[in-house]
Amino acid sequence: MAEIISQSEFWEILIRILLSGTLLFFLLFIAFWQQLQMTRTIIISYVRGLIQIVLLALVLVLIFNLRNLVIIYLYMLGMAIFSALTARQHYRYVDILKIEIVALSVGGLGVMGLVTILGIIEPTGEYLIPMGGMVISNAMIWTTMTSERLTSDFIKNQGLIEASLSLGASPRMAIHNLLQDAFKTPFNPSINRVAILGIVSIPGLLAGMIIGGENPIVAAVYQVIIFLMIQSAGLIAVIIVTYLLINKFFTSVDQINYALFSN
Amino acid sequence: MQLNLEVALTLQEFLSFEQLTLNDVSYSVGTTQILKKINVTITKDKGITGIVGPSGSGKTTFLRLLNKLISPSQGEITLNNSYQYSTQPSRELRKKIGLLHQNPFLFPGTVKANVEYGPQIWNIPLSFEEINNLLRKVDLNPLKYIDRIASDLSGGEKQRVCLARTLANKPCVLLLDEPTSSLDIVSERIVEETLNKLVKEDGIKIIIVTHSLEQTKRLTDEIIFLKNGRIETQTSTKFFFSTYSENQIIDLFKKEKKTNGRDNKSE
Repeated sequence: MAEIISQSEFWEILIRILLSGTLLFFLLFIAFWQQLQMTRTIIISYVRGLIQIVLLALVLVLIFNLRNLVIIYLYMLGMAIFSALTARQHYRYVDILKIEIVALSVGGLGVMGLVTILGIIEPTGEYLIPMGGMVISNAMIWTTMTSERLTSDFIKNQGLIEASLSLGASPRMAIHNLLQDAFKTPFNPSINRVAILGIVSIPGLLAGMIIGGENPIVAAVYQVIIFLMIQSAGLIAVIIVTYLLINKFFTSVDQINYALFSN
Repeated sequence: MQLNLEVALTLQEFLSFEQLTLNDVSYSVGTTQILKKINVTITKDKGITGIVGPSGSGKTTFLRLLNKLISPSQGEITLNNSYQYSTQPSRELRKKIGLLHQNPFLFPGTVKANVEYGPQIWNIPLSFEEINNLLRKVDLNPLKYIDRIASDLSGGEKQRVCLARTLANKPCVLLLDEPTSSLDIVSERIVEETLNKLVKEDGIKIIIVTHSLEQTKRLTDEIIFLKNGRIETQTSTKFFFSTYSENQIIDLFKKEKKTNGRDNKSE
């Protein structure tokens, strides 16, 4: 691995830290003068915070320098599992963990894999990991919105669903309208956001890349690519989640799984 | 291909209804037993069968079992002595043994779209004339109603569109869950007349849940009296009303509340 920091940079940063120590001293002086009894807390917090954030920076450097695609994708799989664990906490009818893991992995990693194979994104951690993070976290938001919408619509419209079933409709036919609404719930705001891109919204990735010294045009194109990736991964994840959820909402003999909604 | 063949075969076999048999059928939700070891046979030759009983006695559950919207926790339902519900495909059963819910749940869109819904499920085209006939059958003027938005209709009209929608599937048994409970007397009589015609003209077997004794007397030929999840009696309507006085019948309804606790203990 290339050296993380050059010697001249190291001394420059050390001097900056020591100089900013005067600010800390000023802070401590005010705290002491005003008898806030926080001197100890302030010192501990700053030392701790500094160590933590420098460690994080080191980890980021390690990750961004990754060239091994297996490790990069394993890292992204970890992101998908962590997101699924978060999504699970807010969904109460079934344990949605496995469903979310499948959806986010297939949607998120699938799209990331595609852009890697097609050569759209450089196959390094520097690009794949932050973009993968955006794609997977957005896919989690999508699946959460869709599954919540589908579930609440399902509960509200049980009468209509039953009426449809009682005429011989398959479960999928019986909730056709609900499925469409559930798909649109995350897709509509997202597509609106693309439509106002550049005029109203200056997304974080673009701003970050420009601050980081990237050519603004390259950054802008990357932003459009990331939106395409987010929406493709989101739709794939949403389709998987709804498909697997429906299987839980209905029994194998095309009845509503009433036990699921009775408590 | 094989699947399609199977479906076609099943439908043909169901074309004529002879009888439904419930064998030791129980239904529970959690720890609450709603139906308790029901044994009953409903045959075509007995005319319109009324399921009567106090509220909470399991009447609606009984109908939902027959439409296979739910399955018994224990026991078996058998159709025409040979087809066990548990082994028959639900969707084909539901088509042939149609259910009309107590609340008229209409799909968004026009009356026409609603009536077509069932046949569309089965990819059976429904001609304009057939839709008109179905609407006439439920006493709705096709010219006036066919393109109306279903949600704009009155309660009685909605219920009749629901009936036409169920009939579009050409069921051989029609299960009705208090179809007139929210209708005015005029709409109620229209629905009852329609039901009588369905029995006479189309040979459809009707099983109707009702809590109205008057309606039971007017409409049904046979009574299954459900109480506390059990069948209290199964008898002809004539016999029922000639044997029990009005006060005795009211007592039959009332008793449940008083003996509820005792009844549970005696199990």
